[in-house]
Amino acid sequence: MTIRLKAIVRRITCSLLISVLILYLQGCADLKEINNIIIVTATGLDLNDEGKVEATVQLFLPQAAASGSSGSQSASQTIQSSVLSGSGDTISEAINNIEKHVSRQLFRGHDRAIIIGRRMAEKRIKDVLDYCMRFREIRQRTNLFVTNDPVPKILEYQPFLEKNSGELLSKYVRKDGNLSVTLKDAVVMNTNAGHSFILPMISIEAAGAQGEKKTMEITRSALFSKNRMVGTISHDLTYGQLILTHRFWQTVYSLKLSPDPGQIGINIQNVKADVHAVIRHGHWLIMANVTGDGIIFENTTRWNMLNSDTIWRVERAVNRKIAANIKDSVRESQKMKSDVFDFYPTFFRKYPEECLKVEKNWNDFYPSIDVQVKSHFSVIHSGIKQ
Amino acid sequence: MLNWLRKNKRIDHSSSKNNTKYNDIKRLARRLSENERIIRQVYAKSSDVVIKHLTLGKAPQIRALLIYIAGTADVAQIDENVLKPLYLLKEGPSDLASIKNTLSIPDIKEIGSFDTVYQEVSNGHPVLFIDRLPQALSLGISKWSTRQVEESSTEFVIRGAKEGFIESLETNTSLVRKRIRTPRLKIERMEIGRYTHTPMIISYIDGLCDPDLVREIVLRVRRISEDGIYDSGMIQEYIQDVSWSPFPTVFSTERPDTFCGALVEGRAGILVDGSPHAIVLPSTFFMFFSSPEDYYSGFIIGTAIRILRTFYMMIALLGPSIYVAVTTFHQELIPTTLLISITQAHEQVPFPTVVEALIMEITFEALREAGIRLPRAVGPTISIVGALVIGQAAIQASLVSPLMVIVVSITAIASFMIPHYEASNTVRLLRFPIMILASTFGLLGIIFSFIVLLIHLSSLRSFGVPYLEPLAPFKKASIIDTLVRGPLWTMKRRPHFTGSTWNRRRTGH
Repeated sequence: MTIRLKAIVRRITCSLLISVLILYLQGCADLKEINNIIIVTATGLDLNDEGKVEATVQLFLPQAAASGSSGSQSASQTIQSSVLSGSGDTISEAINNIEKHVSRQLFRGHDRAIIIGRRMAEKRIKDVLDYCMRFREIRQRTNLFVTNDPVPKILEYQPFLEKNSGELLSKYVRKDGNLSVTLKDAVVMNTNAGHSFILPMISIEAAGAQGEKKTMEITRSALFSKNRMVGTISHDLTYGQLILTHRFWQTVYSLKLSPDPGQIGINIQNVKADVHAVIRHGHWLIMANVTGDGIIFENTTRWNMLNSDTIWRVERAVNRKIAANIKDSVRESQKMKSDVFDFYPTFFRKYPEECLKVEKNWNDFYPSIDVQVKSHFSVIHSGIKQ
Repeated sequence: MLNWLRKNKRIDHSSSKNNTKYNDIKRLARRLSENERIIRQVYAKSSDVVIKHLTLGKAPQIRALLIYIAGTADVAQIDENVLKPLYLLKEGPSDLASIKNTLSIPDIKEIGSFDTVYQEVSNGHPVLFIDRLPQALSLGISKWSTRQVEESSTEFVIRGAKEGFIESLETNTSLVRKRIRTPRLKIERMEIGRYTHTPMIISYIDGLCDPDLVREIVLRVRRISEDGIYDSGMIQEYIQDVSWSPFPTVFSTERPDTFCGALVEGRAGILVDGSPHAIVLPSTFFMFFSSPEDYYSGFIIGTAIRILRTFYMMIALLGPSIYVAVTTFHQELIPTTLLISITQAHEQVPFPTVVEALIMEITFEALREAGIRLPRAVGPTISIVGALVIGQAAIQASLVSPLMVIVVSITAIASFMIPHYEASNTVRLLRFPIMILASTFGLLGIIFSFIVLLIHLSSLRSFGVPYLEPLAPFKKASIIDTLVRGPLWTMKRRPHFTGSTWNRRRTGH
């Protein structure tokens, strides 16, 4: 090896070494050692009496859990989460105020639920969506909820099956028939012409009989329009919204076939909705064809469910019930001028020009839309008993 | 170290005058006494060299001299096939031919110079000198102490031959001959090592192996100037294309079936006396990650096992690094419940995750290395101590978290799934820099190191053949035998380096 070559090799080695070392200097910048973070499992946002944002976080306490699991059998009894609050003019300031009195860095990547207080929902829901979308640690799949109760109370609620209420809520929304709206869903819905979206409402139900535990439930649904919460609809009427937006899975209905005193429990599943928009002579109309299957779970009437006439009666009853439900829920939302059924895109696909004319004042136009529902349910299984 | 070696070599050259005695290329003398004098001088201070005077015939008595090294020549055969016929001679032989006829030994060579005499004696062949003849006879009746052919201790299979190569070159070549019964199998003999004169053979199948490859191997082996060669590993280090690579570019095996399989594919092999490890050239990356059993146990099972092996090879390489990266940079990637249990487990641990991982990995490597070296008798003791120290005690003392122990043990198991020992060493070694990169850059560092590894791998060559072949460069015909193991009848072509004329494995398809 000549001297010149050696010099070149040395220079290359040196520059490589230096560049590698320089690379390492900026390394570790993103490092979050697991002992230095604290996991936030749920976040609550509300306004306090002074009109300031009050943020509450539910924290998972690793130490309590570690001692609890290694110690006695009372692991389930140890409280593994803690709740902290802070206030500020903006959400980020409020969160920052919480962080001031926590020794570790708040880690929001596992935030399962964002719970919005009623006052916040009515006045500053835009702030919530903006903050959550902007803050990179919060996932777009985080579920949003609205509550009438004080937010800290919801977060402090200790469920008897899950570790904390955040986890509980994230599992609730996966249950059939419950409305599930993630941050992404809400933001996407908010881009439509009516700027309207729907969020599930939760509340803590007081303990009933002795020994019964308090439960947290999804009770109603909150409707939003133009960045404001405009009202609520009942859990039952939410089914209508779910069916027309193709997110309904299954539920159980009780039917009464008068004059018989007994009842029929029927499970509705495989529900599909076909939504068409029609403008006829300046009359805006939504035609929905709903089909689905029914399975009879329970029958205390005197009717024989193997009889096709009876089945036909049952089917008709179901059809009537579903159609009424859908119509009612549309009517409710029309009262609040909140197009949570996504009718605007449905019309727009067929009649773009007409839609653009009313886009600006869609929310005022929305209540004038008529809905026709045709429901075709078929009982596919009678539950065999003679 | 390098300087010291160089100095040593220089000393060697200066003392070469002294060596002339041993490299005497002088022809043998006619007079026996003259020959004896020179030989006694050369073999002075060698107590194991036997020099035996014989008198042949009765009427014209002719003196003769038998010389061999005790322990290397078969004494019983000398007695039976050399001494007895010679003593029974009625008249002294006049020429070599008559002696050759007398002796009942098939392998007799005539030799004419002193250096060949020394060579033959060193090879364990007794040499017979006869007075008034300027030639000597080398009798091929050596008998070296060897162990029996037994199962290879590093490459186990369930299905397949249990024979493994041993230290004796003759036995090893016979094992190869036993499997490839064609005169096309060539076994070229060479000697290597300035002082050890270690015999080695280059083996290939004439008509399958590229003649240029054999020429190149001979060229490279000739260039080795080492005092002694004790294992094929030393040859391997000299002849490989790239020395500065953690990856082995020369495949070695202890199994005759693997060796023969490679020869039939058109590769060449090297066997060294004294080493049970054969070398196969050229070698590609995927050879190191396939076991002979893949071919014996059906292609579905073979493919499944290869996929499993590839998966675990990635774990062996990246397991702890991914754990470190994910738990210190990307906690959002972990399912919540798992993250919660990780935080709980890590709560009492005083070290950062990377330090914890390094402690555990280094301890494990130490245990493994100690496990190889330790005497059989203390083996169980150490394994108990190791299991307790690394597993239970370390967790109870909150030195490491239980999850880290799981990661390390899975990595350990994964590294033992790599069938080739040297390849698994490479993977073990590379784990550490990747771990450090992962701890400073997170998954970015892992991807970065992976890319660097890939670039490096695709730049490697083994005797001119790209290391990653048939993946890069892509060879459609042989891709069936890489990460998957296709049915045997789909492997119609030999690897491309055998040249285009011979590469069809079978006709009629």
